[in-house]
Amino acid sequence: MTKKKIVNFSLLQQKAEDFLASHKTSIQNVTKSHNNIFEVSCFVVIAQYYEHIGYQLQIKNPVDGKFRFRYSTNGFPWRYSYLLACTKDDQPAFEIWHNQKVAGWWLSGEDEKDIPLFALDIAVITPGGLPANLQFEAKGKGERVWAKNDDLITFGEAKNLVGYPMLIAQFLGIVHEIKPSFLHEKIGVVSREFYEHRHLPPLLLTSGNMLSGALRVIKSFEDRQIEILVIDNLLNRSFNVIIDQLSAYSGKYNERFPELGEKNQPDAVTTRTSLIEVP
Amino acid sequence: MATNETDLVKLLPYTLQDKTHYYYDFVKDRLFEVAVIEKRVGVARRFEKDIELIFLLRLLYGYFVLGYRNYDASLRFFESLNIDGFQIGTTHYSRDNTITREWFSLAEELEILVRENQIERYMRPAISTDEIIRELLTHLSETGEDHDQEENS
Repeated sequence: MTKKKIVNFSLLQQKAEDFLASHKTSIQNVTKSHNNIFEVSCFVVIAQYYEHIGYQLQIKNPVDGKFRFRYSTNGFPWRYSYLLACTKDDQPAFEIWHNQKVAGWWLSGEDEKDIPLFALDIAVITPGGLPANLQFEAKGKGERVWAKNDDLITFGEAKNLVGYPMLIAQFLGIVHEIKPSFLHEKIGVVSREFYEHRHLPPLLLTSGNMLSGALRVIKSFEDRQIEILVIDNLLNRSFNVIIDQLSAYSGKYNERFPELGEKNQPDAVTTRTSLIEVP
Repeated sequence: MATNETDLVKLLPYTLQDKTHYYYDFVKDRLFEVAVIEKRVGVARRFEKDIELIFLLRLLYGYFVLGYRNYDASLRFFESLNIDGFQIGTTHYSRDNTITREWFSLAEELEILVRENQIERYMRPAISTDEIIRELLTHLSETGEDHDQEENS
């Protein structure tokens, strides 16, 4: 005796066809926004991570009551919104910017006119590292609209792609140009404050899964003392799960650096947004 | 086996068609690798289109249902900071605009479709592609419609 089919595939095919045909325009509209919203999601995940470990976030430069993201690398910083993170006693700790140009590590300190700049999807910089208070004014002569490398604390790159080995290699190249100290202990130094404030090493965030070759490359990083983080499949996972994983990662800084102690670490707090359950 | 079916991929916007084709290539690779291990290559060949359909819905579910939940989480994040959504270029995203309503409605209807057809399990991100393929191969061979003679001999 054969078992009854649980899934009626012919019926399912018909239902799927009806769904796609009857929502063609909506599907088109949502798909068009998907790439932009993916970058927003990455930005929000990083922001919520900092909120989760105890920083207070404030939105600066809102435009028409909204957070204005920068989708062109040419825009002046003061025309876009950013997040200011403060410690519990209200001291500005750092800023989180979107699509921000930053000077590379290797040629920093040279003539500022020809300095190579890199646009980062998410840039965490020291407070005041950019002119942000000139709301809607034209650029003044000599006004710097990029962040100095010394002011860049860490960064994230959002890729609406599956993770393939070449993508990991490209990201390593970006880290090598911008924050090489995370690739090799002999190149620069990651400051003690970085770990005290529970910053995250450079992050690659992808919408798709890591392919097996990419996973093998990532697994080899620990032996090679490369400190970067990769978050894959971002759109198919609950933000809270990712934030917990990031918190667990930085929560272990104390184990790696016992001299850090507990005193400077912000207390973990519950996020202000409610939890989203993934089925 | 689903017969006389329309190519559902053709009903998708072009960008999503490309993604689906890449995804199908990945699923096909996994399908036949798992089928060889499970000794169900015949079942895999016979029901390839049905298995593809489950994975198409899994892709759409990720895109529209889980994607909506994360979009909603982003909106709630900005609301928690007393800001009514965000702006990208000239497009505004907030609780009450068209894209939010359209996305919500897509997510809701797709969720109903998935639930009514009892395929929620295959939509869960926590279940791996290989696991789904193994379950589907077992399920399809147990229904007994098309036992593969070659494999049973």
